[in-house]
Amino acid sequence: MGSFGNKGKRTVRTSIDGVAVNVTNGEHLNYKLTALGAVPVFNLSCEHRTLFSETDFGPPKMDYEREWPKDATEKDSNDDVYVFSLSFLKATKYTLVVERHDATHQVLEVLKDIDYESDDPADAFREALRVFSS
Amino acid sequence: MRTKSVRCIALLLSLICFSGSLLAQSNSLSTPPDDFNEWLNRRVDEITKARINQRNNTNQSETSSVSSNTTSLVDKSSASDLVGVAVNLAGLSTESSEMKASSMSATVSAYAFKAAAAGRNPLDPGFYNANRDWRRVSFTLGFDYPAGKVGDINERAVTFGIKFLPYDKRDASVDQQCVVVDSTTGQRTTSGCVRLVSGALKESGVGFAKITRLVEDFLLHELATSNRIDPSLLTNPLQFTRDYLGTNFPKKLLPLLTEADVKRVDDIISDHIDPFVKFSDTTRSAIEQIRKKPQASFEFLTTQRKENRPDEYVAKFIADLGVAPRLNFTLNAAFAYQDNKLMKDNRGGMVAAALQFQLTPETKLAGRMPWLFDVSYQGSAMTNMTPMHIGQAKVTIPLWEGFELPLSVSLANRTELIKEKDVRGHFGITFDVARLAQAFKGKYLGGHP
Repeated sequence: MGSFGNKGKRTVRTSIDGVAVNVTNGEHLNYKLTALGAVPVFNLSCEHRTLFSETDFGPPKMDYEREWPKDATEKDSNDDVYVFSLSFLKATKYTLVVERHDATHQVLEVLKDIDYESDDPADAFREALRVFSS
Repeated sequence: MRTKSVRCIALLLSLICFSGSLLAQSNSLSTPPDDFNEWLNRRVDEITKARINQRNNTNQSETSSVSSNTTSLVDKSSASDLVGVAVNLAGLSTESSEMKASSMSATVSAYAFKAAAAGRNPLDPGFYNANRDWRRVSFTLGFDYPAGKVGDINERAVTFGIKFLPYDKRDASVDQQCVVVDSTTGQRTTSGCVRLVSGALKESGVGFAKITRLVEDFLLHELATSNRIDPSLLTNPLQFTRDYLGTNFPKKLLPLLTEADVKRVDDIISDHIDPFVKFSDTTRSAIEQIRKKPQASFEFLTTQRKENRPDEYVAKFIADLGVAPRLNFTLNAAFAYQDNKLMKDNRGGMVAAALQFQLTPETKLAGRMPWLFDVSYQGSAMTNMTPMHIGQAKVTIPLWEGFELPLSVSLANRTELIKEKDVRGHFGITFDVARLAQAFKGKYLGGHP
């Protein structure tokens, strides 16, 4: 079990840091987040900007799911780093699963399957994935 | 009448923090990283802390005063906590019919029971936010034995309590407002605490993406050109990330790095550290302000003992008000009743008020604690006892990181034995082992993974 921040614990089942996504053929990444606590705070950002955050999903809830790219405007570069950031200000545990899907939403590979826990509201973690898209 | 005199008590050692805080301080660096992301996150955290340390010791800028060892803002109490105590109390513990524990207690909110009854995960954010009122009531159950009487059922004291918070602005489901001070203009604005942290998290996410690219490109170039890895990977960065990063990093790439490589990575991070410092400042300021939001509670506690041993009943009111960012006011009022069974009962009340001023803006997170000035009063009156009034003024002076000098003057209208006024002065040295360890580690160990 890994650690981060002041009291953070991280359990890695899968962690791959680079992926090729054939966006032209309809491939995409699927982000699934399970959050425990009062108010999850998270976002997906690339080197240029933030693409989405918790406020885009309405009131706080336990399960979140989002595809990337939602449309062509979400891809700024063919070689970019996408970072999923998590804050433990008012949350205690997150589980992040990132998969590469084909155009029919079938799972081609699992890139990230990780648990993050912390009792320190000052803790945060940033999970990076380098994406080579075509 | 005894003339007033000041007594000095030398070298009181207090506030020694062990275990939890010390282990928390060693969280990041004592275990190897599981993958590349964990390694990079830790390096960013260490450099962020170092930058904050450096800034606070030179510029005296105003930052949060919250310790890094804070507990969650989220109520994580579980119904099973109280059930566990009740099971032990009834001697139904599966371990043994003997009562092995000398004392045990648990405090659980009514929310935990609500969640258990509803079959819902109490930390489901939707359920948590929809049932805030259930967290206004909490129950305490416990027992203990006098020293040397552990296991003697006749000596066991059972404590039961109930607490009600009619006014609680600290609950994690409340959208608290935070004051933000612009570091250049000094202008103060108010915004949602979560919103502020979310904004800072976004900026740090973009910053981390930039750092990740720069570090990955540097490592690939440096290792390939020096033939520590296959040079052909220079034209295949995707293969490099899949072969040498992720969970392959600790065993395949980390052993190849020299101190010069790690220093270069740290230089890259340092050049892009600002968003992480801002996130750290914003989060800690939000935590401090949330913890100082006003809270008022009523509490009833009773300790029941068998046979002729006295039972105790206490009803208490507590108000904790963060009056201003550096000013905190606490008021306690209590009524106590002691049922002596064989003798006359005792009853009485107690009132206490305390005002704490934070005189300087140093942060508790890194560097010295701030100067604190406390003024407090406590008065109590019980039947068959002379009323007692105690006033105290205390200054806590931070000497250096991990060492504080508290100086206090107390005035009481009677001592324990003599019905005369008594003035005492105290000074002592306190040191925080966890903070000392952190200071030592930061200065001398370098934080290399």
